[in-house]
Formats: sequence, C-alpha cells, structure tokens
Amino acid sequence: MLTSSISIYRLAAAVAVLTAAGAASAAPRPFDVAHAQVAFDVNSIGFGKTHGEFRSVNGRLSLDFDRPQNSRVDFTVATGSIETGSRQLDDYIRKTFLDAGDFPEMRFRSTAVREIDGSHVDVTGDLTLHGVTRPLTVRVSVDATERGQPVRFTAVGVIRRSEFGIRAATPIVADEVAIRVATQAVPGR
Amino acid sequence: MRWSGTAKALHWTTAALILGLLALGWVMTRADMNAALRFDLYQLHKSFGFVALGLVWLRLIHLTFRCAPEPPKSRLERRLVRAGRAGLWTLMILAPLSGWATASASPLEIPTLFFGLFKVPDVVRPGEAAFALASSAHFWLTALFAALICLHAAAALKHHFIDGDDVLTGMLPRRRSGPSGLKKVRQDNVLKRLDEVRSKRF
Ligand code: HEM
Repeated sequence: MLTSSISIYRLAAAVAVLTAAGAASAAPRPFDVAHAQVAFDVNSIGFGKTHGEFRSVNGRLSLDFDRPQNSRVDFTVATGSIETGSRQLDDYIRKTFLDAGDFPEMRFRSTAVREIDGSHVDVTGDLTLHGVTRPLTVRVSVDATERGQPVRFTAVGVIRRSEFGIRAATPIVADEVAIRVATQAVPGR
Repeated sequence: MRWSGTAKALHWTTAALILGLLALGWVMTRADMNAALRFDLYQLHKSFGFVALGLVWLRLIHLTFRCAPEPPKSRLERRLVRAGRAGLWTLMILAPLSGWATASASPLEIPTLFFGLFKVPDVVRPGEAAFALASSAHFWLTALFAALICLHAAAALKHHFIDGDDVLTGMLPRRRSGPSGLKKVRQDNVLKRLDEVRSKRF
C-alpha cells in the first residue's frame, strides 16, 4: 500500500528512526504501552455526569504502519482500579455496576483494523466486560508528529452497558457509556 | 427564664445542624456539579442528618427531665407557643425520618454510610413509587421546617427588640448578658467577703 498521507509517512519515518537498522520493517512490531489512560463518561438524570478512570491497565500493541490492518491490540484493565474522585462512589460502582469481585478484569482484543485516513483507523475487537464478550469498534486517532517521540493513540467508542448485563440504576444512570483510551506507545525490544 | 447550659448547647448545635442540612440539601439537589462531588455531598447530608436525629432524641429526653419556661400570660400567645413548639418538635423528628425513607427507597440502592464508618440499615424497600412519595414528603416537610424556623427566629427577635423581655437572652450563652442567677449570687458573696476582709485589716 502506498502511504500517500503525510502523517502516515511521518509515522513510518519515526518508526524508521527508532529501528536500529534504520529501515522500516514490513512485519508488525511489538510496542510497549506507556501512560495508558482508560476513561469513561456516563450521564444520569439529576445527578450529573460521572467521569472515571481505570488506574491499572496492561496493554500490548503490535503495529504495522505500512499495513495498519495487520496491527494488533490487546488491553487488560483491572476493574477494581476505578477512580472517579469520590472513594465512596468508586466502591458503589465496583459493587453495583462492575461486580469487581466476580469480574476483576475487562479485556479488549482486536480482531480487525481498518484504515480510515492518514491519521485514523477503526479498530474492531472483542470486549469482555462483566463476564460478557461482545464486539466493539473504536475510532482511533494516531498522532506521531514528532520524530523519535512515542506514538500517541486516542481511541473513542460507546458501549451499551445493558448488553454486558450491567443494568443497575437504569434509566436514572444512562445505558450508554462513552469510552476513551489514550495511550503512548514506544517500540519494544 | 434561663435555660440550662446543656439545653442551650443542644439547642444551638441542633440549630446549626438543621440550618446546615437545609442549605446542603438544597445545594446538593440543585447545583450543577459532577456526580463524584454530588455523591460525597449526599453521603455527608445523610450522615449529618443522622447526627441531627440523634441529637433531637437527646434533646427530647433532656427536656422531659427539665422544666420548660413558664407559659405566657395571654391565651393567644399560649396557643401560638404550644403550636410552634409542637410543630418544631414534630418536624425535628419527621424531617430526618423522611430523609431516611428517601435514601432507603432510592432505586439507585446507594448504601448510606455513616461518615464512611458503617452502613445504616434501610427502612423502606427500594422502588420508584416509594422513592417518589418519600422524596416529596422530605421536600415538603423540610420546606415547612424552614418556614417554621423563620417564624421561630422572628418571634425570638420580637421578644428581644419589641417586648424587651429575656426570652432571647435566656437561650444565649451567659457572658453575653452579664452574670445572673447562681453565678451572680456567688459573685455577690465574693464581693461581700472581700469587704469583710478589707474592713478587718484597716
Ligand atoms: C433535620 C434533618 C434534615 C434536614 C433539615 C434535611 C433537609 C433536606 C433538604 C432541604 C433537601 C432538599 C429537598 C429537595 O429539594 O428535594 C434534602 C434532600 C435529601 N435529604 Fe435531607 N434533610 C435532613 C435529614 C436527612 C436524613 C437523615 C437523610 C437520610 C438518611 C436525608 C436524605 C436526603 C436525601 C436522599 C435527599 C435528596 C432527595 C431527593 O433527591 O429528592 N436527609 N434534605
């Protein structure tokens, strides 16, 4: 595939600089995930928006900038590591919504990556949450404007929690939950 | 009529708590804020609400062992005093109880944690209808409470500034209005003794 867009070109260049051999490899390369931020927003009637983040995230990335469709993503998040700014609200969400005792982890594994334009891809994968696995597609924007710097990814998507069997407090607390994952990836060894 | 120190302390702590709860209740249900802050404010409101409920029982017990001030002379005033007192006592008990019912009935099933220390049991089963009933009861009872507290304060100020009697000062800390009662007697005795000692010496 020809990389016509500037930012994909830059990405390839960044990878090239970071590669010891100095040439972009054609095979997907493993990347380490640094500074992963997994956040969610959910609306409610009368109580305002809840914004929260998960503090414990493990991710593995294998990226192919020449052929994005060959890239792979695998993220595991500890459900207990939720933080909203209120410890009592954290406890309430852990118990009533996430059932963190029974389901200590949620996981996203990509199954397909589709290039949208030079700086966006759609990543489809399986999300396991609350013991239920369902397909999910997120829109990822890729930002690697500076040479030699980590590649920044921001993924956004929406899930319906009821599809994962999380029905507590509906309809006061909205069914739709917006997800935003921001990561920085550095080439692994 | 001068109230005992305990009665005054109980009166003013419940007064501060109830005024604080009215303000907090109003703000937490209306002001624009994120859910985390609102969650903490609700828990704070519920915790202090239980402190108020506990203090009200203490006050009731204390009151049954202590005399209340003598009733006023006029029939109308006597009636007003009786009605006002009955209203305030009823609301001091029903306001927190209806709040407890509201918190219990909430379909959100949020546990009430007393200052994060332990879970307070629920008194009503959660449900939309029960919540709607309890929450409007809590709203109207606390609104009535606020109105009655305004009348109560206005009456106290009228006694002080228009009638010029000691109804208001009787509930204020002692040093504001100078020594009186037992303390006055004790001071007089001390002065007398001083005079005796002086007259002996010179
Ligand atoms: C003297 C005691 C109390 C006073 C003066 C008081 C006052 C208030 C006020 C003014 C509001 C706003 C009402 C509205 O606009 O809907 C409110 C709401 C509330 N209070 Fe209290 N409260 C007291 C005790 C309690 C207690 C003990 C609890 C629970 C254990 C409680 C739970 C609540 C709850 C859950 C709400 C929100 C109701 C809603 O969302 O409709 N309150 N309170």
